[in-house]
Amino acid sequence: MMSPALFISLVTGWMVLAFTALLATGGSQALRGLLAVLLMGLCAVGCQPAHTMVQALMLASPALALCVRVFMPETVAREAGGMAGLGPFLLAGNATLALSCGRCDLLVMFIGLGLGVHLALGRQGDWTALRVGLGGLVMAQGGLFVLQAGWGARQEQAGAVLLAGGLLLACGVLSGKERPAGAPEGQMALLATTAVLAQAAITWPALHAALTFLGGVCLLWSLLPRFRAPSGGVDWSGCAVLAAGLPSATASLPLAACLLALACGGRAGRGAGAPGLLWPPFLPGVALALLLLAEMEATPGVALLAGACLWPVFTGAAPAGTEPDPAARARAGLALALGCMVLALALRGGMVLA
Amino acid sequence: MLVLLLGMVVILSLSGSGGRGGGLAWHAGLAAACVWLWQWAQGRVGVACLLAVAQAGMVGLLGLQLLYGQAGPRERTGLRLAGGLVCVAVLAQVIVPGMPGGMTGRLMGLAGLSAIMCGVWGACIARAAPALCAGLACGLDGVMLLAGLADSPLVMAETLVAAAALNLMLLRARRSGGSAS
Repeated sequence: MMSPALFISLVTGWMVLAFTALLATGGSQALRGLLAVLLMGLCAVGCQPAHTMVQALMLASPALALCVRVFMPETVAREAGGMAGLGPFLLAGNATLALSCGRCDLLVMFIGLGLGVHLALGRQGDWTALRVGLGGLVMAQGGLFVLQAGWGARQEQAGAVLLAGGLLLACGVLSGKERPAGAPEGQMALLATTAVLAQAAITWPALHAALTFLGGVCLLWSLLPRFRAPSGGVDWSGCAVLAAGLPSATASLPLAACLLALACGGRAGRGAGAPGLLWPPFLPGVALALLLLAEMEATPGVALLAGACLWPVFTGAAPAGTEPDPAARARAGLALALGCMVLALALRGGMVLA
Repeated sequence: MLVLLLGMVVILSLSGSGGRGGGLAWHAGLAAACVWLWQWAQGRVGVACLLAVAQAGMVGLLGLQLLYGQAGPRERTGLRLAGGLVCVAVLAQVIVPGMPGGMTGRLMGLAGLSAIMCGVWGACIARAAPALCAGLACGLDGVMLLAGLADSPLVMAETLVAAAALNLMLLRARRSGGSAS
């Protein structure tokens, strides 16, 4: 048995270890892989006794994203030189810590730390990231204060809109400019944010409506032609936000599936671009089916809208993915294994809707 | 009553602090005084006041740096417009009765919120780096006000760190820009 305090201190120790090891040795491929697998094992061991299986899957998603990032060959070449390879490790540790703490104020602090890491290690003088990140965090903190003050129903709605919108803005979901594909900071922050927001929505029910609305906006936003032109995949951020806005009884399994799909495929969805990946039991297909089913029970109108939004993506994705490279194949295998796991969970625990 | 008046002045000073250094420092000082008076009225003068004064110093430093840069008319008009809208919203809130929490606390919360919204809005429409920093610092001041209201030293320390980081970034950008030109 492992208490949350022990788990948090272990993850902090892992971050310090990764930082010093990568700085000392320059970050060879074997060491990076070893560190990523170590975090994965830490998550697998640490969260099993305390939480249910679904929460364990959610908690492991940043480590999974880190593993995908480390082992896929196309990112290695880009990050070979200098300090840039350090960033994903620190961000993954941050996201795991934020998930295990599960509090909104600490989440704001951890996203701010991630932003600082990006500005210090990544491109220096990135004013766009500063504008979007810090502005969003300031808005989220203000909304959080309004929610905590408990002024009344209407003020709670305003606070929920500020909190959700600010956090999503800080994750770079609704920003106007598309980031380079597979940028780690937005993906990791989104993985932590949606899970913590879904938890906070139990306390403040006004968050449900705000999250559902923002998820619909994200889906519509990803339909703009300039955003889906290169990849042709599904943008999973909208689906994850939509899943976080579900009522808390049905939210956990679709949210976990969406987060796993987000961790496997990335924001641009290049791994999910192949048409075969969208069918069950591949993970993206499972996530979509679960999400649409649960949404159909909660609010049928939103489910119909989401399904209609996804249709152009499907038709556009058909001719893509003619020649799968090894990275896409490995990602497909991972998605298949995870999809089978999520299906088994859904079958064992009764259905989502039961 | 003094907190009430000071909060009103904070809100009014929003419309004047359009990306220039002096306005920003004035705004930071007002916010710190507001936090200090609030704590004093509650009978708890402690670490929060120190943090607020430190934040005022940080933002004032940022304002000193900003004196070297210039804000365009675009940013200034945006801030003025937002300030005017916020004043109307605040007046409407004060007129409508029936909100719990006390008049002073409400007005302080609204001052913080309006500072946040104006700062983020100003940062969103800003093009140059100094104006962006000014907007973000304004938002941080608002967070500081709300943290003083909710009495949470953790968030105050966070805003302090963020303001220090803003100072550093602007200093570095100014140095590199100076050496380049």
